[in-house]
Amino acid sequence: MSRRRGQNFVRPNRRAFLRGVAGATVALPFLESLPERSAWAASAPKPVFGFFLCAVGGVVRSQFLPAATGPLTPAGLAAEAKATSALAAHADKLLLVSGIKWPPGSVMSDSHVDGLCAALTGKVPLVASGSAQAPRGAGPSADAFIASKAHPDRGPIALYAGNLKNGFAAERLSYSGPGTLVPVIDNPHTLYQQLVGLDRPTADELLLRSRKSVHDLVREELKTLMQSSRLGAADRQRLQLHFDSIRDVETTMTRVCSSEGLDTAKLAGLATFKYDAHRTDEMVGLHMSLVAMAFACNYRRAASLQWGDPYDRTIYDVPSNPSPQWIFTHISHRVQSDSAVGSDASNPTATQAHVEIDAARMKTLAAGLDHFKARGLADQCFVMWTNHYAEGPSHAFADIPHIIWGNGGGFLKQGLYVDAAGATNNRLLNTLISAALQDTGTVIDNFGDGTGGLLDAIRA
Amino acid sequence: MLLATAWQLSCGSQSRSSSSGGVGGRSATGGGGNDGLSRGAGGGGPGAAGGAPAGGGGGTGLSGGQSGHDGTGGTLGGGPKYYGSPLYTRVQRLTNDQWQRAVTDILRFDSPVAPLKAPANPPPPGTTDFTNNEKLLLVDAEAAVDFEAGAEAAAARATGSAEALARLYAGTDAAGFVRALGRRAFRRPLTALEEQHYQSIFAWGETLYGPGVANGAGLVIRAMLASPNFLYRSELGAEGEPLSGYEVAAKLSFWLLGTTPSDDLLDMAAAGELDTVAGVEAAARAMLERPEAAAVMRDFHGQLYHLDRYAGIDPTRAPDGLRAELADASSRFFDAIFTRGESVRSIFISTRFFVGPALAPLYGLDPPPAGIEERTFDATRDPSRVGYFTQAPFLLLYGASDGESDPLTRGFVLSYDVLCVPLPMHEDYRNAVPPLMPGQTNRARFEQVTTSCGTTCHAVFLNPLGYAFEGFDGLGRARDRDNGVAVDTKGSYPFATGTRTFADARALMTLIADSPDAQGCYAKGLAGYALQRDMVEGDRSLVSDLATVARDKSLKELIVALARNPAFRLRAVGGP
Repeated sequence: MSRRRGQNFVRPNRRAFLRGVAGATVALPFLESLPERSAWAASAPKPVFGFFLCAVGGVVRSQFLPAATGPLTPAGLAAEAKATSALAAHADKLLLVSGIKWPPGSVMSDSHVDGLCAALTGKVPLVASGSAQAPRGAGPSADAFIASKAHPDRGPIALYAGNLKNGFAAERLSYSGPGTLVPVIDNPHTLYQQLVGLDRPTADELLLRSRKSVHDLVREELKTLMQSSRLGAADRQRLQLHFDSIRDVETTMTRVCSSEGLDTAKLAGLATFKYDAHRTDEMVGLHMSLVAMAFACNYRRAASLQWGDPYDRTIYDVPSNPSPQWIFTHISHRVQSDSAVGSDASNPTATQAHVEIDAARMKTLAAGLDHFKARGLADQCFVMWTNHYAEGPSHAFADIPHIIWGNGGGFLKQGLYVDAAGATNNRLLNTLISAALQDTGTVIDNFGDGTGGLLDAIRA
Repeated sequence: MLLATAWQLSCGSQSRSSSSGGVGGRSATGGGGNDGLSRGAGGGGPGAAGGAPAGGGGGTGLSGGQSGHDGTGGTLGGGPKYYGSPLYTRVQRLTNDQWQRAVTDILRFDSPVAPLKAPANPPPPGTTDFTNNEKLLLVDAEAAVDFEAGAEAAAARATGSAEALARLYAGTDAAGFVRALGRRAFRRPLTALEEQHYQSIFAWGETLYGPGVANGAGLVIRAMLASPNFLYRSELGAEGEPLSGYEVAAKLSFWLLGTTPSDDLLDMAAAGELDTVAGVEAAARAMLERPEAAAVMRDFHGQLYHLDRYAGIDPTRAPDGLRAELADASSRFFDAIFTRGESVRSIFISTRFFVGPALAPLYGLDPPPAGIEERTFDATRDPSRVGYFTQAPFLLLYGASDGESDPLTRGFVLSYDVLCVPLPMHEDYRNAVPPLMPGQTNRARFEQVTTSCGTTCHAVFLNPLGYAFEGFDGLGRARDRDNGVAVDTKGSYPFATGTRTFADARALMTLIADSPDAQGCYAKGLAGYALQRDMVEGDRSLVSDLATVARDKSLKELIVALARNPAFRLRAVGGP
């Protein structure tokens, strides 16, 4: 299901090229690419990026969020011994939100699908036929909406970690319009190819590469000029400022927009990857690392990731899920059935396995957030995690936990756990969308079909 | 009373040399406190690398902070004061305007390229006060990004059509293109190594974007316009030695025409024709006859006398149409002096003025002209009006919001801009000025609040200069009575040649026109603008020589004298 573009562009090695032309060697470091400069220019409004993740299967509510609302600290969050304690290292960048309710399910009442449809649309799903797989989001979804406003010529990055080909139902998270799914990428290798330019380079990528060559030459010329014995200290400092300015701009860009930090060996090995029920979270981690790079490069303004199939077949290797292992949907249901649902009391082992899976998924999320942090995106993006329903057995759409990392360009509170007191996810999405569109001067207060307005509980 | 105390402190600070205070600088707006003009921040340059001015502190230009300048010697009067701290840079970055004109000319565009987006930095108060000062022209990250974006846009335009590309170079070979464009961009022939590098860039452009001259040329243009060899005008010779012909060509062209040297001028440099004083003079004289020179001088006078302040006058005092006319009429006045071969003295004693329909009522002209017209003051109707400073624009700009005149600000500006004697001024003085009492003149009212300052500032240096203009109200209209009482415009001023008395503004202008103080001040400004640096005590001889020329010769001759002077032609001695 991977959608790789089929061109065979081969990136020329510029260092070798320059050495070979005219016999001159210009000792210039090679960098793969630079971000679109306008996105990072000091004088321009900086873009804000938004990444929405929606996992499946619910959580064990009592063991997920801290016991009480209030400020978050690394030590305090770690001491809670809850699933979200795995995020303790990010505590100062986190905004934990409880008390968010979603629109009611569709007439088909398949919560597995309905939840995904409503997660980013804030609307009751559409139903075109009578099957349980049928519902579609009444879109657009928040990721596509942001992309349409900020990068009209580019859609969001829609990602999928699961069995896209053979699941009971597959992608249901990202919509460009009512019922219109945004094509998803399930293999991180595909996105990697797009980002590092193994496909035919875009105009932006060419621009970035050409800028780099200009910068390299300018730096060489500045160094030559600074070697003049005629220059005094003030002039050297003046030229050094120029040199440093170019270097700083470029260093910042290359630090945030480079393949550094990516597990390139693993990504390269995924060229022929087929779904593996044991590797869902590994794919999530790789996807997150790539989205961080994509944002840093201003490749796309928004992204979404569906974390698991609606009826998820992922097998989590946690202590309470020994062989023969249960798939996650069954653990979530507390029974080995897609259609039946047990209870925590009826199967405490499955409940405990779910607690352990929650913790494992939060570790995956934390590791993914490390990539955003490393690229300096905490002040220029938000990463929102949620689940397609609140808890496993209940499949409820009330009090669904939301985790937000990053201040969305200063728009969002941080280091805090708040209770939204039953606010609809429309208001939460309004706030996140408005954060992402700050550079356009747009405030959205009527997204979806629920309660209008922003959610003050999360707004800085 | 409190203000009087603060004022006294302010004036007292004038007599001490400070190394930390803000400069009571002329970039501080001298306009009325309610006229919407900004008050420039005083003190401290931008802290250019290694070259922060002596006055590093803050303070508001018109505030009563420390004077912050050196070189007054603890006394006032006696000619221009020097208090700068030049860097004598050898690598002078182009100004934004120079960049725009140079790129337009290098790429043979028939209309200007888009201006840079990054705003020009304000001049450091109390130094040369010009935006082309060496301390302001740096390449920080924002500027680097700005230059790059501008270069990319220009390159796209230059390679956007075969015709545009052919204007740059008729051939299609990389070597020829690099050589031809490089000479124009770097204002000298490229070295062999540079040619190799840029040929590589040309080839890389074709690799990235595909075969084609436009793709290679486009990247070369971008690289050359980002190069320090283009962005900086350099002087890399030994101290005290003549600049190279190419350096002279660039220095002259950017000063007098605001743009890169023409191919012809570069040819002259190559032929050694700019290696002699006569050659430099000939080149300068030719440039001064071109319209670009008039534009440069308009910029100079605009900065010297702060003509940009007209745009900031409170609309309640001067609506849009009048504000535009004030600036236009003022610029035309200075244009005429330059283009018609007149001297500095004309600035003070010319009876020429420009007036349009909005300004006409202030001069009592009826019917008003349909557009801006040149007129001559009628000696009968306007006996006190001579020169720029008795014209309505200047007087209105430095009038008070209540319609009254503002003698302190007028005196301050005259002292600073015309005589180069910086005086500190208290920011809140207007609040201390009491309402006019029946039968009280504005002069008498101001006397009430300035007497405590003694003789140092107000009584001797500032108030008399301002009171001379009491024959004009806050809008610049002539008057002989104020609040029902005859105006008193008499005063005296301690010029360098001695104290002189005057009866009114006209008499004061005549004294100023003939004074070495004003001639030296103008020459100091011109040199600071041309050399793009602060002027210091070591420049006193240069300024004195130029002031002598300024007395009788035209502005063009003054410029030629500066171009001939070793201070312009030789690499400065004493840089850091």
